[in-house]
Amino acid sequence: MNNLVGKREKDIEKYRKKIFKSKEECRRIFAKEPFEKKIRLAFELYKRGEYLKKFK
Amino acid sequence: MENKEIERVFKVVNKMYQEGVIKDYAISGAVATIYYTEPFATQDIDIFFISPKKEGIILLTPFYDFLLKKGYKTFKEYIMIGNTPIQFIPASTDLEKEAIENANTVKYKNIEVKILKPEYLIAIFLKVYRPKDRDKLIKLLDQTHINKTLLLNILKTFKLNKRYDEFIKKYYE
Repeated sequence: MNNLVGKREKDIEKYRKKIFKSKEECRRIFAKEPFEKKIRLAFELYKRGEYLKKFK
Repeated sequence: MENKEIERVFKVVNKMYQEGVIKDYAISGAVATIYYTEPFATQDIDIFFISPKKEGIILLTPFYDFLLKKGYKTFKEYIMIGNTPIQFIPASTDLEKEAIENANTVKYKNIEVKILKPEYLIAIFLKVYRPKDRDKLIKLLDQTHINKTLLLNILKTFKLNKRYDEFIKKYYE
C-alpha cells in the first residue's frame, strides 16, 4: 500500500514538473507576442487585479 | 486601457522630444521590461528623461509648461495623459543618463519609441532592488537574450557586479 502511495506521489511530482516546464515554455511564447498586445494585456491584468482586491 | 490611449502617450512624448522640451528620453520600468518579456500587471508608464540645460541649470519648467498647457492634469506624482498615469523621472545618475543615450528605438504601431536596453534595465533594477525589481530581473534573465559582454561592462562601470553575483547565487544556484 505504501509503495502504491509512493508511486502516486512520484507520478504527481512528474506531472507537476511537466506543468511547470510547460508554463515556462508559455512564458517564452508570450514574450514574443507583439508589443502592442503585451502593453494592453499588462494594463488589463492590473485592472483585473484591482477588481479582485475588492473581494478581500 | 485602449491601445489608442497608449498611442497618444507615445505621440505626446515624441512631440516633446522633437520640440526640444526634453533633450532625450526612454521608456523604463515595467513597460520597457514587457517589451522583452511576457506581459505582467502594471499601472503606469515610467519615462526617464534628460532636460535641456541653460547656463548649467537643468530646466524643468518647459517640460511641465508643455504638459499643463496641453491640458494634462497631475495626480500625485503622475501626469495623466487620458487615463494613463505617466511618471516622468528626470535622469539623475550617470547610469540612467548612459541608459537613455544607448536606448533602442522601436515601433509601437507607426510611432517610434525609445526603450531602454535590457542590459541597462538589469543594472537599474539591481541598483533599486525592491522586490518588484527582483521579479523583473528574473523575467529579463529568463526570457530575453542578454548581451553578456555589454551587461558585464555596465555592471563593472557602475560597480554593480557584487550585487549581480549575489542575485545570481540566490536565485539561480
